[in-house]
Amino acid sequence: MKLPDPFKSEQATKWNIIDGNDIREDRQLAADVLIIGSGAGGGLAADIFSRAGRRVILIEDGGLRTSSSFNLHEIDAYKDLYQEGMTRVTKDGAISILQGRTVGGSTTVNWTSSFRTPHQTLEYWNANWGTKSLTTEAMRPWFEIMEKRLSIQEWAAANANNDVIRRGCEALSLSWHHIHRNVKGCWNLGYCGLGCPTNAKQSMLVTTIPAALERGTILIHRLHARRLTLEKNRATGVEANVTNGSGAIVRIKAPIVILSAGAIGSPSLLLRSEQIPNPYQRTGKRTFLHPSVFSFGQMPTEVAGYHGAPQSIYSDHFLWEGGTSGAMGYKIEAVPMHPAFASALIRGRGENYRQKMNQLASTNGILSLLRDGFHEDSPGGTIELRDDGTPTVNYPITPYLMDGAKRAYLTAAEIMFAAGARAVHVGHFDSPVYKSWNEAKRGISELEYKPLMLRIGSAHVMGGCAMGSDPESSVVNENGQHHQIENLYVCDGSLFPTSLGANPQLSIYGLVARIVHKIIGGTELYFDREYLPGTVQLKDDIK
Amino acid sequence: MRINRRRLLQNGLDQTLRLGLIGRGLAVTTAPLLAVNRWLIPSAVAADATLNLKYIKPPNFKIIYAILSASLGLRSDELTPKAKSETILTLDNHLDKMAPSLRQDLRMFLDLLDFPISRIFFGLNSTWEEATPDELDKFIEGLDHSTINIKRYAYQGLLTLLQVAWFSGESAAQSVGYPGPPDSIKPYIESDREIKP
Repeated sequence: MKLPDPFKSEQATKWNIIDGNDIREDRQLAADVLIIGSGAGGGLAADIFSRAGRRVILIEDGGLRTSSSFNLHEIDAYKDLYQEGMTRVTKDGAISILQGRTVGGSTTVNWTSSFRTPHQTLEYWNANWGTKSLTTEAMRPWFEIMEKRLSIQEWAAANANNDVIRRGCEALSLSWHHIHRNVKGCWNLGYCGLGCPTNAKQSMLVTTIPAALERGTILIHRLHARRLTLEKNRATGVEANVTNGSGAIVRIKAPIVILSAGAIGSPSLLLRSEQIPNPYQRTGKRTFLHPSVFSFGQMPTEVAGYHGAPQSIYSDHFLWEGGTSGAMGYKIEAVPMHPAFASALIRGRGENYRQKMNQLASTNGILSLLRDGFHEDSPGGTIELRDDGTPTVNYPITPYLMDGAKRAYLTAAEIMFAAGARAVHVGHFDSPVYKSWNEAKRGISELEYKPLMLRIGSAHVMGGCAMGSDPESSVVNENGQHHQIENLYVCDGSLFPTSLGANPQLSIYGLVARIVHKIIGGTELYFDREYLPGTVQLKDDIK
Repeated sequence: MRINRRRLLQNGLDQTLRLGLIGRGLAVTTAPLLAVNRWLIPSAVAADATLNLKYIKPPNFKIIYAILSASLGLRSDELTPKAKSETILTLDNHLDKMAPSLRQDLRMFLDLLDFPISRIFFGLNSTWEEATPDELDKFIEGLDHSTINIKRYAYQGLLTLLQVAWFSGESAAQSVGYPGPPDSIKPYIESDREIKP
């Protein structure tokens, strides 16, 4: 039996899709708009530009994998759908980085959690980066449009893994909320991170990209953007490499160049493009990761944290507790517990490790996402290029971050015990299985907090091409336009001057929708009317 | 910093560790290992013909099995020939996707673990064949807790790959109670899956 796959449909036979591996000789192409990267920013930009009648070429480093190939085997997904086969780490190996590398980018493999940019974050940017027009009220309609476009709605059917957070928070009188998800007709399987086999997830792969292809956009996948080209202070396009060994170079020219390769890919492409001005050395600086630490509660009954929507409950109780200038805040969410994935998060050695893994079916997983970049002791990382031109993130682990990690462990453990956990352990090599909250409180406080002793992960790479009003401290303006190259725009998470304090996809959608409408100009909204909520009034903002 | 076998041979172990792994901002002193000569380094071994491996070499197998069982607390009966070959193949496939510099570091780490002097530097005095479970446990604890970042970095990089490779296996996943995807989707996904080189 087969489920529908838009890319295998009759309609798709008319789409212009080119596999870079099929290109064996140099080629030159031209378009009105060149978009580099097909994730949240690039996919959406292709949709809007093509609605406005622009000829678009959309290129993607990863391959085209679609629902009929998503077999729900972890290793296949990690190997084929993630950057560096999900082995990407920061320069010192201390933080593992999960990023999509496939058509649709990380939206193809994210866990669907959708949050508007927190008002605290927008206010902080406004005060410190001069993003005066990005107020909560100004951004609201853009978020409303994207929520409508991508069926983003509250998901109330929490699985047992997420419900631990609700019960624990209620017992401790901590605030909690349901998560909004971009799904339509979701089967509640729990395999969002491995590619949605039913196309319920409203990723770019099944929404904006097919829409753009239907309007003549050319998609070239497995094509690696090597460097941007420049003439007379204007970006002219890109030189890209195929990876089939033929050495063929694809040159694409366009009067508008959109950089949407993600917060590692976009800054690193700018750094490889030595002609692109970088007068204040801001490109690739202030990269943020939402470093996340993991805790595990052994519950008295089955949790089956591998089944059901991965994230549906969260708590921001400790996210802004000390304000932006205080100790590092953290967001509490669930982490799905598929065996290979969980095996890398759970720490221990020998029998201790084995005992922890043996409890997988009844183990609840909580991740605490640390809000980095708001405090002087949280400067973030830097994108660097290796000798072969590939990027790496140099992200120093600071005592400020480790203090956040310790407090986050404590909070998660307290929530788990309050929800009825029999025992708790945390993602630290020396973590025993704590049998009570008192034992955990003492033990977690006494752990040694140094890099590589605890598992730190990141699924949200942000910054590196920060937007702001001052070219000395930012790379682009608040409209995504490069400070020195006027026809070059950034449309992805690298725009953010700090981390967000929330999962980033909806922030990217909202900002990119606004940026692209501004590039096109005029007052028309390039969405079908069905996507426009009744309250939306954007004309003044677009002008 | 690019590392290759030629450089490893030319510069000796200490220099190579400095160039490669210290290139990640780490610090280590390996002065006792300076006197490594070309003839002491294990020669390149052809990839295993049966599995068509690209990166993992047969001399690496014993190291991988030893670390797998000691780190993950596996019983000897779980390391069946099928589970072993699937894990090796999965690991080799995965290495193909790694950033070239990371892959080279990992390859070098495996080579160094096979070489007596560097194996001792990393904390195992006995040969891999003769090491007792207790010695292996101490070896891993030494890597986990080393004050030398390079040891923790190298070991954890390998460990993570081994964990994911092992628990991607059907029998390993079942052994910890994982039932696979929900029944509702099973008719629609590929059920008979073979790990291919």
